Amino acid sequence: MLNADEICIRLEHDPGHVDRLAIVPRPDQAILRARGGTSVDLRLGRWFRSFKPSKSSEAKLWLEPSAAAPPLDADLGDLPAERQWAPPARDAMRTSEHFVRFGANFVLHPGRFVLGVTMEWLSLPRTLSGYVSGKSSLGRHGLVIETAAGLHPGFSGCLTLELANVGEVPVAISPGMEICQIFLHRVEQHECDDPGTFSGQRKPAISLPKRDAIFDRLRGAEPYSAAALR
Amino acid sequence: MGEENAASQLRLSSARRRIDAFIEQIDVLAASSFPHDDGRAALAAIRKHCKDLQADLDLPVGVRTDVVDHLCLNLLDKVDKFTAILGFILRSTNVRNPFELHYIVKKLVSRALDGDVSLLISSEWTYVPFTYPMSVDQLPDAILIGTPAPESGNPLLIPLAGHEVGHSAWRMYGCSPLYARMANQAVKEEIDRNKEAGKALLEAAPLKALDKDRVINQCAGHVMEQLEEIFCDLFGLYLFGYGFIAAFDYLLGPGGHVRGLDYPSDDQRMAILVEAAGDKVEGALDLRLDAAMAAHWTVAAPSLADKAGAEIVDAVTRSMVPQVRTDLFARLQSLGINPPQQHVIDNVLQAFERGEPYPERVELGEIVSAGWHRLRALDLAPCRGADEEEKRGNRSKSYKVLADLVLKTIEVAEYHDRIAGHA
Repeated sequence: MLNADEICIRLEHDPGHVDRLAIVPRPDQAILRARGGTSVDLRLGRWFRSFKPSKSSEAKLWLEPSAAAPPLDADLGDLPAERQWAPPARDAMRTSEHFVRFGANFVLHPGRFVLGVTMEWLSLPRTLSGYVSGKSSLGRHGLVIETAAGLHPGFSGCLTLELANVGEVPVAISPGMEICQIFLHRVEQHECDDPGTFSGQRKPAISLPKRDAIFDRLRGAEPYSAAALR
Repeated sequence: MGEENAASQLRLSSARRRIDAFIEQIDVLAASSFPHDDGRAALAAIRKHCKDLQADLDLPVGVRTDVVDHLCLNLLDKVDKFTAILGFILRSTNVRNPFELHYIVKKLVSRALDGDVSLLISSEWTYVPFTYPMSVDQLPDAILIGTPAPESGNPLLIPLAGHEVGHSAWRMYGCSPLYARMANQAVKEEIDRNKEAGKALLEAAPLKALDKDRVINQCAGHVMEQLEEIFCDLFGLYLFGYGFIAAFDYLLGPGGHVRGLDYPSDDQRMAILVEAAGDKVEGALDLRLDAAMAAHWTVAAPSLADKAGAEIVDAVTRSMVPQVRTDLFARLQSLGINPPQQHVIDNVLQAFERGEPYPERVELGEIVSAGWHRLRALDLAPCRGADEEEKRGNRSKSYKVLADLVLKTIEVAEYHDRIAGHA
């Protein structure tokens, strides 16, 4: 795990350096070094995404072949089988976005869950990975942030945060406040073409896991096909 | 008399219902989630005016019918006008809009207009580029910027707002009286110089030579209209630099739209922008243009009836452009505004190429110009993908990432200003 000095060294590398870490806006390195910890605090951004009440009895957390998902003008009969597998719903259909300006609050009521986003945009080199963790000072008030989310080498974008109030009173959160922390680890350099599904986004992202052909086969959703496993 | 009174009472009742319903709708809208205070403030100003209109309808029985009619007509006119604004305010709260733009655009516009303004950025379904100056007496300091709804999340179109704000600057800087006399004199000289077109123009007037002054005034009016449009283009160019030309090219290229005498043709406008952005003209901005900027635009000819007039008006407009450009650029410079700096644009562009927002405080024009340079490069680069659909998907994703990088860099600028206590 990187300590504060090692993190600062990576933040100061020139563009193009293989170990360069970018965090924008930049954290105050004097504070980072003075604190001497092993993490970087990140701030809450201004975009949130909450789930809409729905008529559906459930939300399946896997991809289904769905007639509703393809474009409106698609003729399903003409689509190859693999193309008929598509996300069951666009983000907008199940969730609502909210923008909270600096100085205003978002109130999270007990038992409620919302997606937030870090104000900072991170760009990890291929030589670093990490994980996001909540801050205990907030957790003690019932605000749970993230659940051991991994940061993959090469990730670039703002981090989506899963925020839940497991306490008994409503909690107010406000853009710009320190909301979570990241810990960073050195990894062996490797080529990675897929740094993560959500790379490069400034708003909270929501998506389902990638299609899992083995899972589909296990539940009898589709006959085995080699193409599906690719 | 009794019938007239009854008719007036019914008309008043209808008017009261209209204004009551309108105020009720304002109150419903006020409960919306406003991303910034300006929308709510605009709503409050309109509501206050509507309450005054509502109070005007409290007339004693027996008031003259023509008074009632006048009041009702005035009210209906206002309600019609406000309805469009209300729709605009409602759409300004939609999350498809890039709300990060508000602070930095407002700051830039306030500096350029040398005063406090309130700003509403919305998205329009009936958007026609460059024809959206919506202003209301009750919102004198409000600047309304409408972007095309299908691309409302695209921050690279915001330079076009520079043109709309230019109309406010034209009024605020007192340009009409400044150039009107010059325009009139220049038209006279051009008619004398260009004998053929001048003769054709005067002969087309119903009273021929006797009508000369009217024809000259009419031409000078067209010149002033054209100059205002060009002033607005140059205003946008100064604030947004390359980003303005690129956005102009994106939405209007390759030109060829039908033209009247009040508007310079699209190709003329583009040529004026390119000249003002070139490095060989005195007072130019020295912007790095790319191949698309040098591309030919379709020439839009005026109708045959307007041909002689267009020849005179276009020539006079062309002759006055350098003066307008010099005055405008000097004015903006005196307000402490600099055009986008190429070396800063290059730095921001390098950050975008690395897939990072730019971490320093830079100007909006520099951010969007870098964004446009990056977009042009993406347009020309081959896209990865096993088939056409995957390539399209990857290209689409790269555009979205770029939009996010631009907006995050804009947010970083606001962050720095707030930290420094300048916001």
